[in-house]
Amino acid sequence: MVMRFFRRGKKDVVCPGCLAQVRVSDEFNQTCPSCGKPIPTIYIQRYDDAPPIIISIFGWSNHGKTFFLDALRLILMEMSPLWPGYFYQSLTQLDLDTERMLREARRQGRNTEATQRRTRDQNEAYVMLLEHVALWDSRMLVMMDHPGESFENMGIPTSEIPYLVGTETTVMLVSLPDLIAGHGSLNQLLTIYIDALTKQKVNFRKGPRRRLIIAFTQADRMIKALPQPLQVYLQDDEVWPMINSDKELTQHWDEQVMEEYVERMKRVSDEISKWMSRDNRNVPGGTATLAMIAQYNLDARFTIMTATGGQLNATTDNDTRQAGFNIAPRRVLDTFLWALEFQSKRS
Amino acid sequence: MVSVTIRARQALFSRVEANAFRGKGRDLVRNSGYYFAFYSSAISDEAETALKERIQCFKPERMEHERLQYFFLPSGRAVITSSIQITPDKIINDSNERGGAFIAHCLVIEPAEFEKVNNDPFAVIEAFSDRIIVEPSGLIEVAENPDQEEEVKITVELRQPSLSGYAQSWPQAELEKLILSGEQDQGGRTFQLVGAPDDVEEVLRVAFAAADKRTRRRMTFDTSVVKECLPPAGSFWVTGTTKSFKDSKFPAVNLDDPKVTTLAGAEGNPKELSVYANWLRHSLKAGRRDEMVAHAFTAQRIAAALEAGRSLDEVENVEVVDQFLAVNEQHIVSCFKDTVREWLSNGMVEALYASIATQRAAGRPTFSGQEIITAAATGKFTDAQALSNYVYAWLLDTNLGAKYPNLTEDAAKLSTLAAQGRHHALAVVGALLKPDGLLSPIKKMIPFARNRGRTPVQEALAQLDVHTELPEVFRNLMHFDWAAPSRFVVPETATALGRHFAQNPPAKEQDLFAVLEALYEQGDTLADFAPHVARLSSDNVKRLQKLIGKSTDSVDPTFRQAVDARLNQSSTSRR
Repeated sequence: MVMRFFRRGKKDVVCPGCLAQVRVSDEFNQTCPSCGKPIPTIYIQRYDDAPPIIISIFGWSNHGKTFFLDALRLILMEMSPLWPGYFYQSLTQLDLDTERMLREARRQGRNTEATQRRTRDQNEAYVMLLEHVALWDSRMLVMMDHPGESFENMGIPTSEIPYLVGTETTVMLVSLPDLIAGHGSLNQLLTIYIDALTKQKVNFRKGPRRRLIIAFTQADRMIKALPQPLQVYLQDDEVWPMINSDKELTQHWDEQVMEEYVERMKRVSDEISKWMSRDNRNVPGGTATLAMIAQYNLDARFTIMTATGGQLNATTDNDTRQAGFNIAPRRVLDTFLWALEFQSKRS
Repeated sequence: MVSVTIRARQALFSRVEANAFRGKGRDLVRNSGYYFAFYSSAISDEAETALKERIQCFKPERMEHERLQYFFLPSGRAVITSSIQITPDKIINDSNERGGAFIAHCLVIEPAEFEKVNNDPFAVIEAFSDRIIVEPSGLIEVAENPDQEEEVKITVELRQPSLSGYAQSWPQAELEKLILSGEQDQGGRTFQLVGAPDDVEEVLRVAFAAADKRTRRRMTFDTSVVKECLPPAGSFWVTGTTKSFKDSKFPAVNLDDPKVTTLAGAEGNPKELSVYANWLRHSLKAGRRDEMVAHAFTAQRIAAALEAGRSLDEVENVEVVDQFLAVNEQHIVSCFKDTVREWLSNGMVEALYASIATQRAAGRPTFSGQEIITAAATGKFTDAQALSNYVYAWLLDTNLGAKYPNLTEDAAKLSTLAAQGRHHALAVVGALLKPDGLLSPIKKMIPFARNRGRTPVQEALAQLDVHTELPEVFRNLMHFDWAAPSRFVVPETATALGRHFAQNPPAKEQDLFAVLEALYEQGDTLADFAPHVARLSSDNVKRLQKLIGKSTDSVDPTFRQAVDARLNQSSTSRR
């Protein structure tokens, strides 16, 4: 394989650390000339047949970015029973260490830590290979976590967060309960995002449309405020119990199941959009957000999730948001599947 | 033990909930997250940028591990921080009470203030340790009292450290390399000391004790670093970590088996080392580690005095002073000689110091090491009397011209020195070296007396006679080519001189004539000099005859007879 690679000539890849285009000179020992970080060998080797899906995560402090990433990884690590032929492989030491840490933290019932601020050089991307992901073949998932403080105000240091401008798909995580408690509004967050891209001379009318996935996190905390269909959707997610079941699964999620799942996701997205336009009390700034999305030609999808399952699993009226204890994420996978949909050949 | 009070600004960084701080003090916390709960207004700009970048990422292996940092802001201000993980308070820190929250308490110190404590961060840490904020409630208290907390005063004890604990077990060569690495350019690298935090701190304390205050400004550190929070290579001199990581720009030093790798050529030119670095290197190589630590403060004070050009005011440990002088002899002696050159010519200085060095080596120091260093540092020999004493003794010891033939060039300088040092005998020597003889120095003696006039001068000269300095001077000048005094002021001096020269006549005929002439003019009858007339040439005898004339009252008859006899002898020879 190596010999065939070199006979084909040089190869260009996108650096997972800074998104710079890199001409590969040595796939076994390649560092990015722009950021100086090493590029995993398997990432280079599988670049063509398992293209990277790079997700930019955007959201305020304590709105669940880290919870989401941790829960998503926990799910993706265990999806083999559901997806035939699927397996998960860490490609960086950071990802391997995180994988171990997450398993241990879950075993101990330990809480996720608040993400600390770091400089760009200190921040590393998580890179994982996902083989045979249902409808989307094999992909390499690339993500980077940033502290919410980076997104509090206009003037986001985009040099510190290359993903924000460099990726076409951005996941905007919003905790509506915290948004309401902090007297914020959804369109403020979108404004900060639009401002950052505008300052980087992004033209929303030309070139590929910017894709936005707005995921409402911690939905368990406002379950009763959700429209009935969304309540049902949130509660009847079976992924987590299925992948954690001791029993052998009799049903796999083949292509047909996944097609139906995606269709349902689209319906849920439409339902959420309608909810946003009419329920300004529980989705402050929802209407304005929809208008901004249209104005800036964003291709947006909506989803809801709970990374911990907190209130849904509560056996008492006490707040069990201190997750890590008996977590049961709901609809965390949807955000990832939307990103796959956006960046796959199917779109 | 010396105590110094310095002023510092503060900053407190932590995970904070906006609601808990809203409306308090300066209302600095606008959003929830990792922000400054407080910072002094004087450092606001730097707090938001340079300071935050250094402290914002902290992931200790254990909750009880404290992180100490020491670095400088672009403005030149020194920063010392203490960070500790906390159990987050739901109201103050994190509504989700997530783990990993910490408080970083930062002291920001102006360069001049930090100099007062010899740029020693550990001294400041110890002094401030009981005021470091380690509880969430402390954040609120500080935020609520911004005026009170704007500036803090810290009383620091400048203690001499002792070598104890872990650092004692380090191999000598490795300890030396680490200590000296603080003053070397490490080419953009940062050492990672791999070991328990307490051990890392212990090693750093020893290194700081050994370093002088200028080097300490380069010895920045962060005692708790993990790969996820890696600072840029070269931004610290040393980082501490419990688990090593592979990075060529972070050469690892395992504290259990320390091997310090320095860059080739990093040691620099030995000739360009500072005096303190020179002493330090010598001490380390000599293997006296305990002494090195014990004496470092003294050596640093000496070095500081030399660099600042001030005297050593305290009486310092003689052993350390002498060792310091010996190691840095070339530099210090050069400065010492420059100082003495203000009084004496270059040639005399060189000759004089050779004598000083010989006496020191023989265990008979005329000047202590501290005096030599003080003179070298200040450029002044404040005790002119001591110098006068030594110069005079040296002149007598070396019989003047025996080892230093150009003494006449120093005549004026010796006189000036003697006047400052109130050294009469040295003044006489200086005078005797001048063509105009004793008159000039005698006049210079006048300022010593309260009155002007002959009486005080007589008393001065009488004192000379009493202490037999003048005769001794003349005795020692027997073999020296001096300009005889052309005039004596007082008869007593003339009498003394007359008695002296009668016993010890000058060797050269011209000198003898000059003495006879001078004595005659001062009223001496020359009674004792009759036997010496035979030595004079015929021309000088004629000159003498002309001088004394035909008077029989002013000259002793035996002397006149001797002169006449000599003249007849000359006439007979010509016939």
